[in-house]
Amino acid sequence: MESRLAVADLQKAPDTLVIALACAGDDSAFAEVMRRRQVRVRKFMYHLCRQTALGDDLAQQVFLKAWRSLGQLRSAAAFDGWLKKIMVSIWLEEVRRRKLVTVSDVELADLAVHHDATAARMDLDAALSTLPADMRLCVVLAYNEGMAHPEIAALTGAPLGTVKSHISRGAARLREILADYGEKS
Amino acid sequence: MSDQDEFDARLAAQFEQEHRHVPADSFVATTMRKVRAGRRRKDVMRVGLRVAALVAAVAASPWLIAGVARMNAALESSLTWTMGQPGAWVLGALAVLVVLATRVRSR
Repeated sequence: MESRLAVADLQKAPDTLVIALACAGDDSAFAEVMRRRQVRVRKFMYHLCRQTALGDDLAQQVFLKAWRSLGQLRSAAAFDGWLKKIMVSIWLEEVRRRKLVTVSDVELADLAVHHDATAARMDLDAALSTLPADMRLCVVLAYNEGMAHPEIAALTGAPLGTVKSHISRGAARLREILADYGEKS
Repeated sequence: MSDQDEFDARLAAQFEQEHRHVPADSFVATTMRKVRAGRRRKDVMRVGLRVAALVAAVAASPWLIAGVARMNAALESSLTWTMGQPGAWVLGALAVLVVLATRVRSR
């Protein structure tokens, strides 16, 4: 479907209007919605899988699923929460499909050798990858998405107690690894 | 600020940092290509299904016509039988049975 607004107008248009146009089948509006959110979705996936290509692939799947299910969206204001649900479901599908595992301490030690200007990032992503997949998801949702514990419990379907424990144990583990890594470098 | 709070703030700041990855334009363009390809596939599938349904209806029309003719014949013969004396007796008996059954149930 051809866009009702020029690309320049779309870039300046408020979120709700762009989302409403995308829901009506406007390709350019959907591209604009994606342009505004791609960094957040890709960062979320990179933190979880630690591979640029896989992270981009998963982020693409998120947007493709969003495009296919736009008809189910009740209101433009609910878009971000709805997209978050898709992000989590795509990640959980990936975990089930690939049976993703954590990296060993040996691999973590190898990463220390490649310590460079992006050390902080390598550090964080490497440390994250040592956490079990469900714990990593809770930590990323809490720190990257800034979500509260009950919201995470509702989104992932995990009990609130489990979410709290995952986040506190995950953060403690990250603290331990990042401190070790800081000493080594 | 406690050690834990300080660590939480530092961790949140690290999450905030940008990743080095391909530019947004290339990501958006690639994904939109996939979106359009998906829609084209869906359109082709929809047209294909309509054509298949039409072809199936045309191909099955001789059997459909014969089936309708057989059904008509069966309906006609059963109507003729019902309108005759034996049919009228059977229908009357059935009516009596229904009335009796209704009375028994209502008690």
